[in-house]
Amino acid sequence: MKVLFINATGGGFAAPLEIAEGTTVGMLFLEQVGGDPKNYLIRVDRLPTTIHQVLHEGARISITPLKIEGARGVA
Amino acid sequence: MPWKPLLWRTAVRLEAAYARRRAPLFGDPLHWDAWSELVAGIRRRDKAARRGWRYARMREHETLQRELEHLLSNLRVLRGSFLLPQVPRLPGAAELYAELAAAEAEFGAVVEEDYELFVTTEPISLEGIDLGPFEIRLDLRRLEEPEPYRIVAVDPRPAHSSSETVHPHVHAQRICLGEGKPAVAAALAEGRLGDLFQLVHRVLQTYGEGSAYVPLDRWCGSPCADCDDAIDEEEGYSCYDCDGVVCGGCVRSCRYCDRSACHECATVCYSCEETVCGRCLERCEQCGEDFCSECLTEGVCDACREAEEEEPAGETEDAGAESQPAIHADGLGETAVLARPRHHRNRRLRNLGRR
Repeated sequence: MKVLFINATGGGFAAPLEIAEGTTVGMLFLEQVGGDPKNYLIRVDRLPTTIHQVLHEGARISITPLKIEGARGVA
Repeated sequence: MPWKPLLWRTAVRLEAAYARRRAPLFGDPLHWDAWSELVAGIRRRDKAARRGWRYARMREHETLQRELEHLLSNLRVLRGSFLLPQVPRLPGAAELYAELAAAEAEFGAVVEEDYELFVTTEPISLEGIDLGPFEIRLDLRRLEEPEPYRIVAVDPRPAHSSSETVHPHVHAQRICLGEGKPAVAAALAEGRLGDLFQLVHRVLQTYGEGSAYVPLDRWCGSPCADCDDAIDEEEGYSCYDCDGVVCGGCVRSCRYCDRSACHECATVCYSCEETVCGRCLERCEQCGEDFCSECLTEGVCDACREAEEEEPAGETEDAGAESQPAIHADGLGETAVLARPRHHRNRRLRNLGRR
């Protein structure tokens, strides 16, 4: 089945992704991002979720780090 | 979620604004001035290192880190634009409505005011410093620009040294997104405004020490190079030697030209021990130590002069050596031992080797 995956740790684009039926948020996270999910805000269909949620056809999953380091611009 | 007509009208206006958008989707991804600044910064740092300007070298090193971060940030945006080269489709009103609703759920309200759409964050505190809440404002008339957003401090608590720096990564209402830049650019291009507000919010909640406009440890003023107390940079004194800034309580001023120095770099007269800068010190022709002009008479210090006067007229160095066999037996050398001024013995050693 297809889902829309938005990974803010990469380029930040929304990209369609083919996943197996029964894939959970946690499985997708490990496959696409890795690391500790506690350091990320994971949302499905724009709502915060848990790693145990099973994804459905057409789901919109976004993964955003809790900390994103800014910088100092150059005038 | 209940239907919100006002939010829908905003979404429709946004849809029209996106339809008018004709500019490059990711703006100008690489600014060549970032590279030039980096090269110039390396030259400045190396020059400071060669001349032994420790403080200047440290400042240049810090600036270099920021310039490098800026360049990396631009490169990340460029790389991001290549990851998925297809042109993002224009967001529809329904999608934009869903984004606005999500932002409203997260921030409490999405407000449209004077062609700007904004959300307000909770009060943000970094490293124990309370910076207050911020408004993340998106200008609907500037969607074609790479950065059509600005950050406004609701209750500004700016850095002591810069009234326009209200957050370590916000200066003059502009936020430098650093690592978040590609993701924000993509969210803007695809009309994912809920994600955009959230990403900017994450940057505001994060502190990057090496890449801040004003580091938080200097937020309440710069640390004095001697006592480490916070001081306003405009009220501090710059050391003429190392370029460090010291407070009024620690500054040493040359008694002749009034140049300022820190404790580490201050030089003193060998005799009176008053602070005198290297430029105003003069060398005694006999003992070779540095003195202020008042402690020298015709190029000779008082102690050497007294020693000279105490020596019998016509006595040679050899004769003196014969008259002081015990001293020579210790290998201390020549009659200069007798000529040393008394107060030389208590001289602090910290300025040896300086001008």
